[in-house]
Amino acid sequence: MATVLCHVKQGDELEIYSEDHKVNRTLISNSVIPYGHKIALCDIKADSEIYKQNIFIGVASEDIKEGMLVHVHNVSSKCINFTPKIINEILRQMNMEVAND
Amino acid sequence: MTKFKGYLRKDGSVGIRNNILIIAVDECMDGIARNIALASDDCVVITNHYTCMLGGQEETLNMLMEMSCHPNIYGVVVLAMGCGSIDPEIITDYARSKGRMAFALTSIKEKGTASSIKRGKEYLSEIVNEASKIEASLHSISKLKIGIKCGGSDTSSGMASNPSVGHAVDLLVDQGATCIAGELLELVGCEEELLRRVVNSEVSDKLTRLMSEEEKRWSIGGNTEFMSIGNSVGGLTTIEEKALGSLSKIGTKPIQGVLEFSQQGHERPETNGLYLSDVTMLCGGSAMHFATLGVHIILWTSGGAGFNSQLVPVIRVSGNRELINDDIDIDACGIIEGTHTVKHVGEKIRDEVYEVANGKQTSIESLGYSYATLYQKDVRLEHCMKGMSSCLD
Repeated sequence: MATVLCHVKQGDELEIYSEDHKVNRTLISNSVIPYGHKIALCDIKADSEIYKQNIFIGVASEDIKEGMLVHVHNVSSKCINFTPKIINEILRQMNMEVAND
Repeated sequence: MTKFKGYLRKDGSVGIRNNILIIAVDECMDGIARNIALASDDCVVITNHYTCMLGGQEETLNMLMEMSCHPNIYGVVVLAMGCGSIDPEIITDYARSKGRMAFALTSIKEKGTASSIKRGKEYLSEIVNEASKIEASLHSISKLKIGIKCGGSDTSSGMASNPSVGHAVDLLVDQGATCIAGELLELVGCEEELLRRVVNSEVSDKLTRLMSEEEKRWSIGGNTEFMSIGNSVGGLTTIEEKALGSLSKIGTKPIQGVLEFSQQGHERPETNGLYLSDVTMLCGGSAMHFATLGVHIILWTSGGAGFNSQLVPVIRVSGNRELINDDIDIDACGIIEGTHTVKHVGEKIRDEVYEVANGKQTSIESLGYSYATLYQKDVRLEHCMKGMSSCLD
């Protein structure tokens, strides 16, 4: 996954930068991704581990498609997790509508 | 080897400022302390606002004793009303044993407020006279202790200010400085990475114990308050991710030890390098904790909040273009904007540390405003009450 540095709309074309500020590849977003949030760089299968800067940050709680928002609704912690009520409140405060299966 | 101009103290420590401390051991003396302080620009006032009783306040007393001989302090005036439990001479005796000029004053013995202020100002002026005679001399960077702390973190912290402070910490440790981080609760989720970096198994056991104690301390009714909704609205998904930001600001060096605070005293670093500690995640309290450890400068990452301390200068770093303001000392926004690298900003922070150590005022240092909360990690009374309720169950 990568962190977006501006507000992203569905269908926007994004440039993915490496640490030394070179463009590695491009990607079409599949959902709204607010500033500072994370986008999936590839399809992520449920139960697979997610890494940021090579350090583990969580486990996919469902299949995540390339270009989707990666956040509290589809990632869980190995230590401690939000209750569904808190997750909904977070998404509400973000003005996000994420389909709940 | 890089050097800085500092004030050599008789106990071998070196200050980057030449200030005078006024301690009010009980809150009744706060007004008198602040009145006395009006007589000099170099005064720092610390007041114990909690209670004038001693039982259960051993951690606070330890803190006040260590602050009375902080490297930035030339001398100290310790004030008590005279009807409480904390004897000001416990502090002045300790300060003198560390080569500091020290006076104790008790208001009741001094016959009241006006005469206490008058006498306090006389003591202060004696210290100011002596302090002005000392000249700064060149010292090795290995004498410097740097605190690492964040506050008001947002999505830019993990990307810009934290990693650049982490890089500065690596550079400073390479130069022989000692860097100390705290906020153990915010490192929950990074235990594996931290335990890989400790120098031996003793440090490893201690870190595990202190982190689990801190987690228990903040567990209310079985729910640890591990992250705010605001953190997640800002982009943080799991506690592991939040800890990653916290981890990046301490750099990559081996962890020499974990400094524990207790009623028996506050552990201090035995060698140079990187340390973790019981320094609280609460900002005002953290400055006093860092002061207790003899820290000279705090590196503080934020969005736009203006954390300040009169005793320990604070270098504020922000990478958030929307929030950054005049309070911030280091602009790290270029990292997100693509004009600067973490390495470049890290070097800028290291250079700023050298300049502040050499006397440069930080952006709001001269405004004199700061919070100085004497935060105790453990409060004995609450432990007693927990014991009582478990007896009743």
